[in-house]
Amino acid sequence: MGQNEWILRLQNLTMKFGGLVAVRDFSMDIAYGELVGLIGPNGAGKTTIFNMITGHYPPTSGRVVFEGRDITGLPPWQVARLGIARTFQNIRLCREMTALENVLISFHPRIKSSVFGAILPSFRYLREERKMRERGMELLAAVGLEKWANFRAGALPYGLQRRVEIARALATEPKLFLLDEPAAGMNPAEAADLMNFIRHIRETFNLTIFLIEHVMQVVMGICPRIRVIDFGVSIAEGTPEEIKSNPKVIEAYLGEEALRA
Amino acid sequence: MATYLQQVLNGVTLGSLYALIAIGYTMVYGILRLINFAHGDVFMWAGYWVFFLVALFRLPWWIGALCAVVITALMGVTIERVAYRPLREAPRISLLITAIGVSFLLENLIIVLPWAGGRQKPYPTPALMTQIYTVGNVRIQGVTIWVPLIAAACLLGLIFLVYRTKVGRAMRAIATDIETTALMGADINRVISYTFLVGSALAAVGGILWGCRYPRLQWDLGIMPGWRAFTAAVIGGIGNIVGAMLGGFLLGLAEILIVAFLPGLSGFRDAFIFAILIFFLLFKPTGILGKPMKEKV
Amino acid sequence: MKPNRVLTLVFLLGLAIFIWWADANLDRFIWRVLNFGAIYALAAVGYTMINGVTGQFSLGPHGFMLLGGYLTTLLMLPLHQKRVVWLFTPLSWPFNQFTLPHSGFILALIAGGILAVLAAFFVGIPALRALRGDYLAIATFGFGEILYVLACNFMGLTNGPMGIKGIPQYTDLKWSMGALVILTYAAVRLKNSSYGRALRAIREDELAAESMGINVFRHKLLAFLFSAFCAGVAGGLMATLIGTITPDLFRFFMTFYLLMIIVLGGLGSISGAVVAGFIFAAIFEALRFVDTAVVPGMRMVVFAVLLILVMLFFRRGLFGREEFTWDWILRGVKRAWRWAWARTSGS
Repeated sequence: MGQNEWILRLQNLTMKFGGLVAVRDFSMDIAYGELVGLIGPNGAGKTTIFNMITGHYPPTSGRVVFEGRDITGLPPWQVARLGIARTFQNIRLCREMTALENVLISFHPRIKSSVFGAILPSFRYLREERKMRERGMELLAAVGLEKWANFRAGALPYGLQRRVEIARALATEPKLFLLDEPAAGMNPAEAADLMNFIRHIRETFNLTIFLIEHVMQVVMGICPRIRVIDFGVSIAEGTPEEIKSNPKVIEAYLGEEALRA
Repeated sequence: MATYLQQVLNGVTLGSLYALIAIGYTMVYGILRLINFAHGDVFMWAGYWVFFLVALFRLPWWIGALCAVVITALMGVTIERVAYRPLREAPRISLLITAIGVSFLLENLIIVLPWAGGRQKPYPTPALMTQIYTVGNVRIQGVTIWVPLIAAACLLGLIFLVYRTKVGRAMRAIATDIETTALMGADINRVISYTFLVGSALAAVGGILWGCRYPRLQWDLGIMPGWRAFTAAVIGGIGNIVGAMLGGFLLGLAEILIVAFLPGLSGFRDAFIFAILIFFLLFKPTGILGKPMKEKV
Repeated sequence: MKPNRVLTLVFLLGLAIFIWWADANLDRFIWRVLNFGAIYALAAVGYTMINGVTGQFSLGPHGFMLLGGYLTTLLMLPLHQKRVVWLFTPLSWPFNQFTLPHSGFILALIAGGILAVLAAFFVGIPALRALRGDYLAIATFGFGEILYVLACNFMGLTNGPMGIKGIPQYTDLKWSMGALVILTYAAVRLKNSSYGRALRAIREDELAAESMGINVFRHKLLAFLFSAFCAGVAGGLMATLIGTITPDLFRFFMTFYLLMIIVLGGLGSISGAVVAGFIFAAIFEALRFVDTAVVPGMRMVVFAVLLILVMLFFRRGLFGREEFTWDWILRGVKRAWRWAWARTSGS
């Protein structure tokens, strides 16, 4: 494959916190349009990898290359503007704001009017605001939330909050979408629904999706390619079938089961 | 040479006082992540308690001072109980606002009280502290000897308490991770009360000795020493007890030496203190000895 | 036109007529209370923008008020008064050369606001980038205290702790209320605009806002500069209302008052800050007799206890984070009407 087929290239990422190595020498390439899963037991370093991509943690060493551009160490807001959006493991909505307002936040970085235009308000600002609201409602409709637009986000049921978070991320018009354990706290049926929904938004919005999941079964159905990490080290990659039968993966997960028992 | 020695001794005296106050800031911050605005005023109250007990109730100085330490320590515990504990789960900013409120309350209570009032009051200083000792050609006042000695004894006692007793271990555990410590069955509220007790008691010792050094009492007496001590705590790495002591001594020495050798700048003294404080917050927020803390994503 | 807008216009018209009448005829004591109320409210509107709406805890508004107060004073103090006041150290250039005429008052106020904005820029760039929470509070507090020390020592500009007397009392309700109305309008617009949504998002979850592409630092700075402008103008109005200015006028207790006001009004509510500003001024002046006749300092004890009680038991304040709306009033009126109607027809 040529250079321009990769939307994201992670090269030898390492993250150390004090003496602790959270992620060691992690490399991975993701092609345009792919839907890739990253799985591993609790504390394996999955979220740390996301945080290195989005700029929340500058990696101790290694590079993050997005669309051929080195974005290592860029602050999160710049990474977001380049077209990488994310959700969080423990939903992080602005709970006191409405569902619609949460989505509108993501439009703000692309606003053209100045502060003074917004205060006066200028005609241009009013036009922009109206357009933002229309787009926001469209997006909420796309995730099936138009009825809830003016509800306080924090008051919505958990599953809907997850959808608001996804809508908010989509509003940044991402090319690459990072989902951090979107099915956390859901029962298997809800999780399956959500995975269908993710497949659906991937097609509608033409996205590349990189998905973290703790429970293996959840990603098996939708990710053609899965990477497994344990203790910060990459241990396997392949199709769901290959992963399922990989002895190292079984050991990593069984080890965890054994610890739990 | 003699003046130089004299100034260094003065610096050590002042530094030990700052260290005593700084402990309270640093311990409370370490556990509650609260800048206890009222701490400087608790320190000020200790001086007034001595004044009330010795000058008004005619108690012997030593007994009055001991009682003042106990009363002030209980004051600190009460403040935490009444004003801070109900806000444990509230946003941290609420806690800071309340602390500012308590600070203003403590200051203005002094002005309102008929025995204290807004005017300066003389502090009853025991003879031991005003006595002059002559060593060679150096004349040393009692305070310059006794204050650092008493302070050092208290600080050693504190180190023993924190590193060698059960309560101390619980304090350190809570400072590292309050939730886990609670899960492991420690009584968080009791340990926090102890923290305020110890911090306020040390501030009380500081306030009483401060009075011996500068024998004038006024309602705003705690503000600037409080801020200097807080700066000392930040310099040493907030949350770090040994760091607070170190910061206190450094700041005390620096202050005395600057005032002694660059008297033209003494009008800007407080500005320097805050400039140092801001500098450390911006460029070395972990201080000299502190460990870095990072928000979890 | 929407009915709410009509109500607002009617209200503003009524206010204008009242001010026109009150500046000449109102009882001087009440007139003074209203002026102070408007000035406190103005500073509080700005203060709640950074502390309440954006959730970045600043403790420095007294410093910005000091800057605005001194600059306005230096621009408006008559030359003959300038010769009398600076006895020991001569007044520095360029203020010893000129003074603005009465008609330049608006320029002097705006200049005070702009000076405060410049200072806020200078402080905010390092502080808002690196600090949050308690540390930001302490750094801004330290900035205010440094300004106080400088004001005491730069005799050539401030005449030091002795202060400046004989400032012409240009502030009246036209000015204080006018500034309050304009800047409150700006604050409400700002809060409800797309920029305001970004500010509120920062308060609620800074990390999430940043992940959506919001340049958190620039928006914090925006709120900080707005608050500094309000404080600077308020400082100028206050100096030209009282007629004297000393560094002690703008010490930390001023920030404490403002903190009381925005907490009482509800952190983040602009209308709450305005209403609480007037309430504060009224209580403050009404209790003045307690300080002079009964026990000095009692007022502050009352306020400190009030602040603690509000924080402990009534943390929403008067308005929470909501804003005053005419709908809210109308609903109340309707409910009262229905209640009264039911009572009269029932009995």
